[in-house]
Amino acid sequence: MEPACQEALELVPWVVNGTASSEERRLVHRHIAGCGACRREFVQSVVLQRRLSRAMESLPAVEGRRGVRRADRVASLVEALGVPGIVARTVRLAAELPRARPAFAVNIPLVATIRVGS
Amino acid sequence: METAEERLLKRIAAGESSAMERLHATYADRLFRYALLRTRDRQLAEDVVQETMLAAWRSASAYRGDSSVSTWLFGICRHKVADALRRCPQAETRPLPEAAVGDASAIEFWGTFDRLTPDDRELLLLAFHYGFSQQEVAQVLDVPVGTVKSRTFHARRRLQALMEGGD
Repeated sequence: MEPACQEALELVPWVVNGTASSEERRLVHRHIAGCGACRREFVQSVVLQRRLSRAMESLPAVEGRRGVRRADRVASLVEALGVPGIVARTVRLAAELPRARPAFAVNIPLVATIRVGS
Repeated sequence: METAEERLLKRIAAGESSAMERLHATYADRLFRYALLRTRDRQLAEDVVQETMLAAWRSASAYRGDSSVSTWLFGICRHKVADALRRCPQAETRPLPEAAVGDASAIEFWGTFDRLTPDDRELLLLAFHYGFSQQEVAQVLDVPVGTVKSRTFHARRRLQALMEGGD
């Protein structure tokens, strides 16, 4: 592969995702205007981005299975953690944690471990 | 100049639960899908998201703005994924759970994507789906920018070859 092609193609993902600098964008656009092979790879990259993003969006969301409202879950998380540094409150909340099930059940040992250790 | 997300982290550092809720609403699904693709396990991925949020809550005051908030969070999440994979090392090589892969077009896509190495998959996700810049990907992966550019170029070509029916 020609060094100019390599240089342009290494920048293509960042031109496609919109984070390349204007100088990098100009370099790529100038190159693919005169190089059919690299132009094909540029188009393939655009298609890849669309397919990957479509496939990613078909994946479930974080709480799809459990049906727990996000706000409720975060409230449990924040409540259980307490304001950083206020250990007494966290200990009190830890004692009440069974009522937070099932949304927070997995993390009870985690919270307890961190607070005891800190 | 301070961004809205940096202000949000300051509020989290001050113990404001509504700010934490906002961070969760913005990032939980993005982090979950990344973790799901890395761990191939819904429960592990959910745990990774909670552990990432917990770490963000605890270390928000240590954030110095050297990277964007999303880069910072993905960096934490990546470490949590690595912890999960150490606990469950076979997870990374499993196929995606059937209930998680989506419609027919997505199933076909993931079938091809899964033939890449985990490192290739991660690079392509960060660049093409999450839209990180070269510098941000380098920060998340903790490698030089030149390495990111070169590895992403090769990963993209390997995926293209697989999509065209090559090995």
